[in-house]
Amino acid sequence: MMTGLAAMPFAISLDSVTKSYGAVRAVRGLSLQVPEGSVYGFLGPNGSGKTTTIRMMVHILVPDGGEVRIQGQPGGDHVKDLIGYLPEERGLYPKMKVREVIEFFAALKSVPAAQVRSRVKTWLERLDLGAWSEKQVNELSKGMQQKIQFIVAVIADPPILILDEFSSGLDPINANELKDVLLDLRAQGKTILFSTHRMEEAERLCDHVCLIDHGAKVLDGRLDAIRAAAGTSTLRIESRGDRALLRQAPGVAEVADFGNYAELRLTPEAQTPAAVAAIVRFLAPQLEITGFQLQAPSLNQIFIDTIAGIGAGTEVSTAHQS
Amino acid sequence: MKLYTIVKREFLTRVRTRGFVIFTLLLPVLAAGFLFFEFKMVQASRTTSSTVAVVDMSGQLYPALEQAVAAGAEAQFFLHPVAATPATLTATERDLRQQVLDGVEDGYLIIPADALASRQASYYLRNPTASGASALEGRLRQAVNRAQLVAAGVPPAQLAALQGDFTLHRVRVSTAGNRADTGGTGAVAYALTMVLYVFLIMYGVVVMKSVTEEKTSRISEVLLAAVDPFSLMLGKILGVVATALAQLAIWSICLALASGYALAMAQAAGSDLLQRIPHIPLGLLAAFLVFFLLGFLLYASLYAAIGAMVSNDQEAQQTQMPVTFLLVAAVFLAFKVMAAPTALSSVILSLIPFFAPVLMVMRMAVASPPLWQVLLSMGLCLVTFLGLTKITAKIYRVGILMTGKRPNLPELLRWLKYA
Repeated sequence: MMTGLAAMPFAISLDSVTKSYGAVRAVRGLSLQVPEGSVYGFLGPNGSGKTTTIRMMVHILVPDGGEVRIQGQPGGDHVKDLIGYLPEERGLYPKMKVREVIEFFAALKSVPAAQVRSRVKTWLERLDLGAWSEKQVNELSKGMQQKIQFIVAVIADPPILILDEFSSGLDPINANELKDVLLDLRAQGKTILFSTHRMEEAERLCDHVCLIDHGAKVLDGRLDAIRAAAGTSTLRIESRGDRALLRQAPGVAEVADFGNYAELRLTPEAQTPAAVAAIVRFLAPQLEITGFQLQAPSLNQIFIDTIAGIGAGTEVSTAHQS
Repeated sequence: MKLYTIVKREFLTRVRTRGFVIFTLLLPVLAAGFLFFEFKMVQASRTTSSTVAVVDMSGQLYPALEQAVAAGAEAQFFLHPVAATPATLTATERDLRQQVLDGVEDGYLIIPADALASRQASYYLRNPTASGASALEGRLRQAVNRAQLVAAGVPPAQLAALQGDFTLHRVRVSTAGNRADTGGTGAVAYALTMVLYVFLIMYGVVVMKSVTEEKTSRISEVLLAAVDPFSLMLGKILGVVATALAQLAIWSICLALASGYALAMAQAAGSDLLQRIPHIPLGLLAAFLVFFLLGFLLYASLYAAIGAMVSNDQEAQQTQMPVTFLLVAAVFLAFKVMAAPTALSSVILSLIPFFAPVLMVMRMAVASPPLWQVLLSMGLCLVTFLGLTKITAKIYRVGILMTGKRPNLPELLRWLKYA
């Protein structure tokens, strides 16, 4: 990693961006900075304004107010070649050959004509689609079309990659294959922003996250900093037996039962090894405990807590990177 | 560069479809086949000769008729006289009737005794609508005229001169100087504008579909992430127009070859067909081509706007009505403009962009509008086309994100504000 990131322009930065559709305020005063070379998780529930924000980043939509900058330049049609975009709603020309579709989008993304053919070939082979190159798009399975769509996003080798709900509709094998490609792209220093409503996915891949809800930022920063700030307030317990007992253990504020395991949120006084030992001692005679771990809360939990905190009028502490 | 990529894809994917290739090649073949068939039919009707029995009760016309028939070129008749008196006429007629029914004679002609004065005769045949009858009528007229002239004492040497045709030369007065006009220029201009009309109806829908298809298949968002909506719309319109022009060029070449061949054949056969072709001034042809292109672009951008507004084919069908109405209005107004090409209303109508491609061409064909008017209407067309494409691009940008019902006018105006 390079040092002195602060001196460099951000890959993407938004400054008080707003966008309304009639009476609906989809995005309200959103500011965020995506550092160069980061894997940035753009998170929020469905309908929180993620896709609208992303569409403003790629200049499909124009903000009503505020400013979008891409690598320091004001957003607009001229920065489109800097960004590879995989929209949530995928689409390819069904009647065109696979190779021709990718070649078309490559040319549209200003890939030099001399390089188009070889690049398309390389990518198709890399994702095991070499044999399908001369087939029509509509002969391919849905998963294959998703991979083609991914190739379309990366074919021009853009420094910034924006993926909207990229894993939706992918089976685990394909999702894994594409995740490996993403890690590879990160190693090459690309900036990757992806939106998702699945917190655990972001938790695995991202180094930065931004949580939004109802078009406004709730929380952002480095993932490790956010989790550190939240403290080790969660006790994860794997057990067999009557889970109703969990609620009665000393120092347990809340229980989230996930079936195979449960996460107990501890009161501030109970977040010590001694207190945890007391909880385990309380449960052990009545439950068969197969494992337990004191850990930072999940991103999902942090998100829920933060929104609840805003609702209760509490000050939200955001953990910005220095 | 991006524009070129859009145009290229639009053009190639259309031109390479089986439907396009078949239709483009099949139409000239069908047209040639139809013309050949028609030609053969005409030829057949000319070469069939009819044997006609002639009962000349006037006793004066038969020789003149025989002479006229021998001189005529359209149809061939083999005449032979049948003698009859008023007393035997009924019996003779009965015999002849039987002979026609038996196929011995093709027909029989009864020339009444007072034919010279009444200028009437009757031709009996199985198919009175056959083209031969009118040829025979012409020959009879000549024979009667001749007989009357002879009766009036005109020397036979002068007869030919008296029966010649008369030609009125139509000369158009225009700023470009006087020029002989064979009267067909207006008709040709009308035919040309009809070609434009048919192409617009045919290809406008193609433009519209090409826009809605990308919306429904969700390609538009990927496209817009790579290219600005104006270039995208312009590229799609130009691509489809290029497809249409390619087709038109192929058909024009076929037509040129076929008519060249036909003219050469006619020339060889000693026909005056070449002289009878209406003269089309080069300037008019150039103006037609420019207006054809502008009109095409203009209406294509209207259809593209509709495509950007709607979300499925059914809505598109309903929404395109106003555009079709504009087109039909332009063609109807062409009649009015042709009748009064210099009237103020005609001048104004021919400057309105949506009518100009039809009406200005029409005015140029029948009158000579000042050059500035022609250039002004071309300029207005071009500006309108670019403006419409810009608006369409805005509608498209917002429209792809809105699914559901078609916007009404106030909503549409709000869309334009979002973009």
